[in-house]
Amino acid sequence: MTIDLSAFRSAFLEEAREHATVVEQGLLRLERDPAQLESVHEVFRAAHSIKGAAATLGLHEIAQFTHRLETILDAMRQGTLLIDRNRVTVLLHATDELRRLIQGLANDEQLCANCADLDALMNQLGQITAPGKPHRDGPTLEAAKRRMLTLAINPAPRFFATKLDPILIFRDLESLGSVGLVTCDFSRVPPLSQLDPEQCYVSWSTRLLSEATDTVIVEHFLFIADDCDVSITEDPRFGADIVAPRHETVGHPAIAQDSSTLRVSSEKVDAIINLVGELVIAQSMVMQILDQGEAARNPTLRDAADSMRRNMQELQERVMGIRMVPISTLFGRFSRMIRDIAPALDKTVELELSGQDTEIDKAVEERLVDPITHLVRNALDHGLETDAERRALGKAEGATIRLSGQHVAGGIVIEVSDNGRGLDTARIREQAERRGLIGASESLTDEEIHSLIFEPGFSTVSEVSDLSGRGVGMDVVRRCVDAMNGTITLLSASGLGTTICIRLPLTLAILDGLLLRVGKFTYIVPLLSVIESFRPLPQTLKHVAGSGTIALVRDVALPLVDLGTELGLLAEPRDPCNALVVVVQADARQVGLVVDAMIGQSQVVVKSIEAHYRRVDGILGATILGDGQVAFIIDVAGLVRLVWSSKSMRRASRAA
Amino acid sequence: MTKKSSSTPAPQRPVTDLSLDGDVTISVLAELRGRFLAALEGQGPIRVRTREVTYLDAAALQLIWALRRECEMRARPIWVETPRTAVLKDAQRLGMQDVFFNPRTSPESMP
Repeated sequence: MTIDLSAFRSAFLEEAREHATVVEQGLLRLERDPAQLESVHEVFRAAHSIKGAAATLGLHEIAQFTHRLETILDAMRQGTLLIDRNRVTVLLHATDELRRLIQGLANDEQLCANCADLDALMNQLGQITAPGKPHRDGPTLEAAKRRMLTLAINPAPRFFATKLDPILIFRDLESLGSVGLVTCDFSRVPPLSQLDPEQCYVSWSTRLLSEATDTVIVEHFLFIADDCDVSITEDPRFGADIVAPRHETVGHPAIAQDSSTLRVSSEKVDAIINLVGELVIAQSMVMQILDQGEAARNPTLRDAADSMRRNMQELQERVMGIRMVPISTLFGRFSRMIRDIAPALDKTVELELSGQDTEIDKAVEERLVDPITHLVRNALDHGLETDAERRALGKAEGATIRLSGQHVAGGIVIEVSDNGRGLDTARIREQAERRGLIGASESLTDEEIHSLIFEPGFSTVSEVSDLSGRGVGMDVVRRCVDAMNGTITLLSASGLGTTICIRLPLTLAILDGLLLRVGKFTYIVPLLSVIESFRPLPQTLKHVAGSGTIALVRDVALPLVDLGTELGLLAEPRDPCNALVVVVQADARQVGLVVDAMIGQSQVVVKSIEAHYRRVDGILGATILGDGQVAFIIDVAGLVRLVWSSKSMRRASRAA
Repeated sequence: MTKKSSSTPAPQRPVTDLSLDGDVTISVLAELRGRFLAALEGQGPIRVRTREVTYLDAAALQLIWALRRECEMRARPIWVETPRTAVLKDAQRLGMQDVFFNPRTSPESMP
């Protein structure tokens, strides 16, 4: 009997891509800290898994290639081959090639389509560990003596008073071998009011990969022995084969899984989410019928419906949870990008990541890849100065790009910051005037000028680079964010840097909305966009020629938009004094929507119109309400931008 | 409906600047601690300027870290300027580089 292995290919492809990412991320960590023993093993295991699965499925090109990669990683894990930037570069190229092979397989291409490249890379890999070549970084005997040591330095409180500087100890330590990342424990530092600045409250730990004997290492710390407790322990695992048991490749390794994890395709999860959405709608219909009097006739039915509502809510939350992934899956890809690009631009750039465990809907994460990539590239190419420029400006040499993610008020906030030159306000203004976006005499705040970079085709960069500067970026970034019902804001200070803040809903499938009545129809605005509501007084209203009506709210001009006329339901706008104004905000701009009434708040399941009909300007999507009525969700960002793009409105606002 | 957020921007709070320069070592820390405590008595964001610093020893880094934590506990925004590369490298050697980690790009963007 023959087994059709093609059925296992898709599982292999998915796993192999994940393993390739593990290899890449692990290599980048090792480059920063070669003493990270766990990372060497992790990378080795990932490469080994790809090799085993590829061999089983008869994918010999992939198996052979990964075998070369694995051989080098094995030498590194045994401690016989030191990890340096050049070797990591070759290994990263090999990972890229591995990805191309995997993608080629996914596209049903001939695996050896670019054999010349592959051969060259195989040779490069081979040279690192070729027999007869000095692939060991020292004589075999000495290399075998290399040890991984864990050092813990616990100073006595009087340590600082002895004037012994721990910086010198750590500097000298580098002469003994490769020093890993140093961890400082601040947990014993008391509050500032109780802190004696001459007392030492901190302690340190690190790892050292060294060939030095115990005597040499002890001598190194001898001069602080009276004031410090130094413990040195050898890691017995170093060099030992602690790789996960090599599974025999008899079964189907590509689908072998940890029993506590189940791999399910995203289509299947989406189908469940959709069904749960339908159930939520059906449940709200039942609740509405009960509210209309049925509950009084049958109290047991009310209890059962309440119980159903609670369970439905939990079911919905749990199903949505399946789609949540840590934002590190998004942020992780930028380490490599910065590592590869920054040196070519003569820039030393550190990537700082925070909030990596923050969870985000997979659909949001996937749609954020392009905009965040663009923002990081922009920061790299234009935002940050070269090392020489920074030196000339007296700025710290190491430029930084920071990515952070955090949950805030039912949404997620992602910030992309750099400590570079900041936006050139004068240049943006000049360009905007030349393009007719603003008038020469128009007075704008710096913030308003900066927001012009989100206009289509806007660019102040005179030279287009490989990275950015084509003016097709920032408007696309904003459109991506708008399409997810998010907002984007920008803060920039000359010489200090730029921060771009993207605020998004946690999920695209469900939305907290405010239900509004316009004529006999119900419309929904996302609750995150709503600021306040009021009924205006006649004396606060002003008519602006060509731009409609504005209301003065606490001395600030608020453009009013009658949803009835905007949506084609009314021929003439109503008198706002006889209606209700709901203030909504996007891109730090506000607009007052004139509506008949507010019905209430509700969590609604978002249905795409585009998927079933076509894109409709001003409408974000639709939903089905508890009474079975279809309600449209207003595209607040699009509406606000449309209103504020009018020059007369900006003038009127300033005049007010 | 209740108002969710104010439409008028909050007034800009003055930034308290604490400028350090030259070699900041254990011998000057008692005086520096006094300046830190005085700054904490005030209101608004605190900015520690370190660009003119040529050396920060471990005791000084410990003190700045204590100030940063104190600010975090009191919900006072703090921004510690990134120092010169050599100073930053020494802080990294000691695993104390978090002293210079600012969640925002500039003091002006502090909440």
